[in-house]
Amino acid sequence: MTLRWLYLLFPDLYLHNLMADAAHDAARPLALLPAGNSQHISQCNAAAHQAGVEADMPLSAALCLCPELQAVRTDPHQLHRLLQARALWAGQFSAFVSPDPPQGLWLEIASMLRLFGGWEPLQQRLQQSAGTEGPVMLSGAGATPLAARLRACCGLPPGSDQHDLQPLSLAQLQQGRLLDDEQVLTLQRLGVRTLADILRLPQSGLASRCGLSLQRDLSRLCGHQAHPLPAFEAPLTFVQRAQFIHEVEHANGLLFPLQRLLGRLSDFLQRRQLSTRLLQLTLSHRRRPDSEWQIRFAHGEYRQPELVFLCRHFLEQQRLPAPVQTLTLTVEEFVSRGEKQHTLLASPPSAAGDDHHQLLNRLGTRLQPQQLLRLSAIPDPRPEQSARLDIQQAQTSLPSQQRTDMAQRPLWLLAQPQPCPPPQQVVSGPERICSGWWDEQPVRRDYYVVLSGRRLLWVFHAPQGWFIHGLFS
Amino acid sequence: MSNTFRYAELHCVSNFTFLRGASHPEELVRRAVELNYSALAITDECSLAGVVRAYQALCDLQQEAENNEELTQQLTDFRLITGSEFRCAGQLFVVLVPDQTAYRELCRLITDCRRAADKGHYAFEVKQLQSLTHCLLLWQPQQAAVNEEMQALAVTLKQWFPQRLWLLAERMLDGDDHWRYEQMPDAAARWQIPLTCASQVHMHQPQRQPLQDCVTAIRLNCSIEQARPQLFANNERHLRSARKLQHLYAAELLQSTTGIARRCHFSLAEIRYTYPTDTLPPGEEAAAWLRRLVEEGVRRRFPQGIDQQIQQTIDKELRLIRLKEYEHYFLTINDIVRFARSQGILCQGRGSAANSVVCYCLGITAVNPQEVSLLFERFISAERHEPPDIDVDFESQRREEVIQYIYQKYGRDRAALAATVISYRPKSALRDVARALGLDLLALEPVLANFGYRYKKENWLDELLGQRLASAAQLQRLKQLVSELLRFPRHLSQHVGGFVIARERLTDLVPVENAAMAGRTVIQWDKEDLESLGLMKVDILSLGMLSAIRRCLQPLNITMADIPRADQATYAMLQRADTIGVFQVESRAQMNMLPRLKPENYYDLVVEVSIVRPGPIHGDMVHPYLKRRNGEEAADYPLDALKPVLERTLGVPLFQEQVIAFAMVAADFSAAEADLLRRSMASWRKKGHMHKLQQRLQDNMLRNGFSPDYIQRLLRQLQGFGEYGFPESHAASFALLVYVSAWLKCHHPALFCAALLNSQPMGFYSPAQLINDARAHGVRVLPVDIRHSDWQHQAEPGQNQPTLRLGLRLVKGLTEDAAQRLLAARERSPFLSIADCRLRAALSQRDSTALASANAFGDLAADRYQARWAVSEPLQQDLLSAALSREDRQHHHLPLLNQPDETDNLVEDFHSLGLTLGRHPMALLREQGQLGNSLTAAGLQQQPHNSEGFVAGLVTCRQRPGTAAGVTFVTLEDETGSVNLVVWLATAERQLKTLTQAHILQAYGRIEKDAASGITHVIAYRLLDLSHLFRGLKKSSRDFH
Repeated sequence: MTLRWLYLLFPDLYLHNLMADAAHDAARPLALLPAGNSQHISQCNAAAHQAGVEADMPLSAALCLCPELQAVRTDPHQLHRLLQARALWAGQFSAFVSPDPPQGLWLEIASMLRLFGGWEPLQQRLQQSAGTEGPVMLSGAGATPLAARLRACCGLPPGSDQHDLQPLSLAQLQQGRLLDDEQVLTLQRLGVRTLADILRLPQSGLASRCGLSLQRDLSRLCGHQAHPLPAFEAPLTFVQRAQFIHEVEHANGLLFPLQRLLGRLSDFLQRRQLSTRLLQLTLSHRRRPDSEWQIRFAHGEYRQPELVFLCRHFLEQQRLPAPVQTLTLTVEEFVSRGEKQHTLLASPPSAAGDDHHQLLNRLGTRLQPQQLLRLSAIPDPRPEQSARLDIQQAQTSLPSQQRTDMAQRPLWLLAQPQPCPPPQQVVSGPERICSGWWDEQPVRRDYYVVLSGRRLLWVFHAPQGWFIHGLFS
Repeated sequence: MSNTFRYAELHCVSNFTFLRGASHPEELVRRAVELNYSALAITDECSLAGVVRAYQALCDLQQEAENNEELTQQLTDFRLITGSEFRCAGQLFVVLVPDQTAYRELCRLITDCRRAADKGHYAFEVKQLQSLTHCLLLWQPQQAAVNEEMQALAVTLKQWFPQRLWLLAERMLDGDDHWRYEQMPDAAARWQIPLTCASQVHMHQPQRQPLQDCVTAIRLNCSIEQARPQLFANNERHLRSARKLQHLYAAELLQSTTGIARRCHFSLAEIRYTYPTDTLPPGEEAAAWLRRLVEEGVRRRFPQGIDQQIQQTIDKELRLIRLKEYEHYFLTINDIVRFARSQGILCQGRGSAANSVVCYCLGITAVNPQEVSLLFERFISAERHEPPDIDVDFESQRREEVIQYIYQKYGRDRAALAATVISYRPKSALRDVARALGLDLLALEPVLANFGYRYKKENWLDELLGQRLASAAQLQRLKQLVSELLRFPRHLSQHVGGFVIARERLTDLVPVENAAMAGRTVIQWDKEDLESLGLMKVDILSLGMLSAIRRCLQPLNITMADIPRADQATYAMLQRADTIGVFQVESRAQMNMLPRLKPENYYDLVVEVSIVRPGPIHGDMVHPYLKRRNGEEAADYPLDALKPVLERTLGVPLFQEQVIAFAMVAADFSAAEADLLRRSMASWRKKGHMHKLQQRLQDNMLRNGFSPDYIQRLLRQLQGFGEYGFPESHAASFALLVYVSAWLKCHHPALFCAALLNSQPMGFYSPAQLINDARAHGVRVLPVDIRHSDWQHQAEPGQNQPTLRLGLRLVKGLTEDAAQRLLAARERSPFLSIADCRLRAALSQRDSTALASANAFGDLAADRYQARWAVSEPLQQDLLSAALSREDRQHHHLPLLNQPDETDNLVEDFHSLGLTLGRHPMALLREQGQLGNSLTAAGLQQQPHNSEGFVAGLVTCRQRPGTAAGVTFVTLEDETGSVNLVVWLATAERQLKTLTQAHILQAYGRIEKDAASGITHVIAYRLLDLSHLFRGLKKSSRDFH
């Protein structure tokens, strides 16, 4: 058999990323908890290890040993993204990459070995490309995917036959994910200690005791049975480029070529039933580094005329830093069209909703996204806390449960309550609001609706005196 | 405050409306009195759980008022009203109790609502109100105000509650308050229902608002931030001042409240509890019947006749019982105990009942009054208005039979368990408050992980939270809220065994609700509530040792009374501290005490079980007593008058009774004060009194010439008793069981060991330790074997050696059903092969694997690996293969499997049985040379005092008693016995990981020998974790931190 498969293992993928991201002080003990509810540590950094913390230890025990330990829970989506990024990177070495979550990759390398002239040079190139800053990378190569993984996990040199795998212990086989916890237990209890012991047992007897999956995996390991792997697919992107024979000198001049690109984008989106909220324009210049522009929309869009309209408004406000040679349109973020989007209005009918999206998008490109704000109600008893302005883009707040005991409230609330003399004509009140002790902005006031001249005012009385807080229309 | 102010708060929930009310009932009552209210109704939501505490608080206030003019003034006419609140579809109903009939109605309604829902919830429908023909009703319609539905309901309610219905207006000053309040008079006029007002009180003062918000968030299981839609907008739900009330409500509304209150003259004091009379034969009179039973008992207990003194005591007791009308109580308990006897269930009274000769004669208790000096007054006294308290221990494994008997005899509507109020403790309070404040719980874990070690200090929060929180304000808030939430009731759970039995329906006395356990119901009051109201409770407790003793006595065909009383061999064994498995005196601390105290008779055992307790230890009374006992110091009495009290303990007060008697003589305490002192020790709720009493004790003793040092010791001892009260009568009951179990161990070691093993879980030691101990005493122990073992462990008649055959119950993972099938199949014919056994006993895969792992197939398999391979083969259940397997007498032997070596077998034994009959793991390690020059436990005895050396062993116990500051006791076990390791705090802190995690430990240290007692300790300097030498061997240590 030949050396055909390479397995790359990133044992501290998540932890490494965490420490790099947060510029975590390496001397500070850090521990990972697995996704879910488990309180047992899954991994820890060197500082924590030094203090006696180990994998599988209950968090409370770890904290006894190392009170300053910081514990972080693993986010499975983030881990998935990190492995994807690794797979993208590995794509340069092999046409066939297959992710093996949570932290491994398979690469088909038969042809690469010919290209690089053997295992050693390939290995060097891999390490070189991975760099010293990246996460720890272990590799193993073998004739079958499972053999490669075993070798990577157990630190065995590449090999195409299975001889040196024979003495691997059950613990090592478990580490190489050939056996699960239960199988290890079953085998242990039969006095089985090594891979050789397993292979010696009658296959049917083994299958009835450890399940068919083990029998299948052993066949795959030895190459008696094919091992189909799912190929990694790079995430969706749209990239189109327009090259100019004559350099374009005005922003408006970009509109025409852009229209064509947007047409293709619209087709692209239409085919996939997607829309987008972010266009990236890359302008290349003769003597300057490229310029990057981003056009962001409040709501997903896919129709060409509307995209053109929005880009025109955007371009009208831009000034070219230098003449442009090529224009590249890149889209990497996509929104599914079926997705419900949160809106300012409670529940717009769909046609009106489209119009409303259109309006917001147009306003957004005209005004700059930061100038377009969203008003949302917060169920806080304190009037000044009961509404919030968000940038339109940040669509995070869900429509929240409202308080049921709200009385009449003026639509116009003053930014700062204004002192006033005691009112003469009280229409209703008092409404006592006494709350907010939890965030350093406690409020203790009696509110009244009062008539002043011909205006209805909302005033309150507090220990400091009387104040106007709002006006009724 | 104006004198004309009259107001009754008719709607107030306490913190017994769990996670809604934010004040204790006691706080509410005090505050209401302070504010000059004329009445306060405690109206918890579908519950009366808080009313007794409110009632008790009022009684306490009345007592305080004795020398307080102003308080007396405030209390005149103050009324505590019982009631309850019900909510349904946005409407609120407050039910108030005017008289006793109404009280019964309310109890039944609450019971119905609670029984119809899961624990902690209730199911209420408006139509249920129809059953209330005497209660008063305050009704607050839906906020949506007047509509047809409300109109119809108004008509119905008026019919149901003629002259007993009011509309309830409550001004909370929130958003639509004004509008709502203005509508009420209209509605009242339209429906012709009188209007009254209340304040929907949730807290006794407005400062509790943060806590109220906090418990709201806890109830909704989210942070305060997330709970904002449900938080009250202001803090108006408190007991308001006169000025505020007069400002908010019209004068006639305020007046109407006192009118309603005046109609509610019911007080909890009126609850007349009557004892069940079921056990009295028809035509008999209770007192005469009891006397007859006692006389029969006398003949049984004292076959040689009684002296005059005892006869006098019996007469005195019976007179007192007659006076207090307690006959039925004694008869009821007598009946329960008789039932247990008739079923062969061993039982024995404990606690203060052992002070009574009547109880002894009835067979409720087993302490012979001639052997200890008894204080019947401690049990029942003419002055005390509280029922006697008889606690009876039953065999733990058969207590359920007794409970079922009670249910069956009295019915579920007459018997129920008392509740235990589960309250917030430091950890739970800290967790819940932190979650409510939105603090990161992961960041808080370090605080909680180390909590157990330190929480006793006063300023524990400061110490723990020091720098962990962002701001000082945050810390301040957390501290404030945690300290307020501490001791808040959280939910009702069931008491371990306290039964309340009534003559009539129990629900006429107190509501009953569902407990978490299926088929169990609890009343809404706990033990102290029952005590406050003088209700009878009988404690049906469970004691594992009784099960074990019964198992020993049965095959010997003797009873406890047949055991010779002064057996020298037994006392010699006790003096050697050879007491593994013996009741009460098997702990490390007791084993250290035995060789010092050297018990020679029964009374010494009474002292022995009482002396290693927080009371005598904190009071430094142990050493003086030992010195006097060993003749190093003469007995001496601080006052001559104390001699009778202290004589039997050589002048050193050891028992709670003695300290109380001491207080009466040395500090001039009245009988009532002494009684209060006794009760204060039993309950934290009366801590307030405790402080005053201590002060008085101190002052009086100083005046009577006692040294300040001695007084301080006595005070510390009192505090210790508060932690763990252990009166002499109780010790006397327990000492009996100590002696009986010691005698059994001494003379029937195999039987005793089997009985202990069959009564697991109980006691201090694991089965492995008990079996090791039995082997050390010459018992031959035979392995589990499907051809010989029963389900239970059996003491087998050996030729010349006591023999113990391990039972199938030791096999982990084997179900009892499967074992019984196996035994039945074996009965028919012996097993020929593993397959034969699997087939005929219909063993599941799991069961047969468990047996294979335990190597229980004996010589049907070559070894356990072969057995496992065989049992994991799918079974052909057709006749042909069954026939073939019968033919097949050969072992299926698969040569491809490895053979287990000694280490494999040892690890497997530990996994599947929890112990090994093979060599001790430490013997294996020693043979392999892994332990260096570590001394064995036996070898340690040969070493000179103060020499140094290594020891090593399996960690079987880590203990950190509260009484020994900072010391951890570790027990190491090797093939020759146990080593006692003492780890001082400094070493423990330095090597915390090794100390807490190693299961094989080596230690270097100084060997310390006590010549008098022969006890050897090793003071550890350095600890070494050797666990890696035996991977897979995780022996469970019993850790008591």
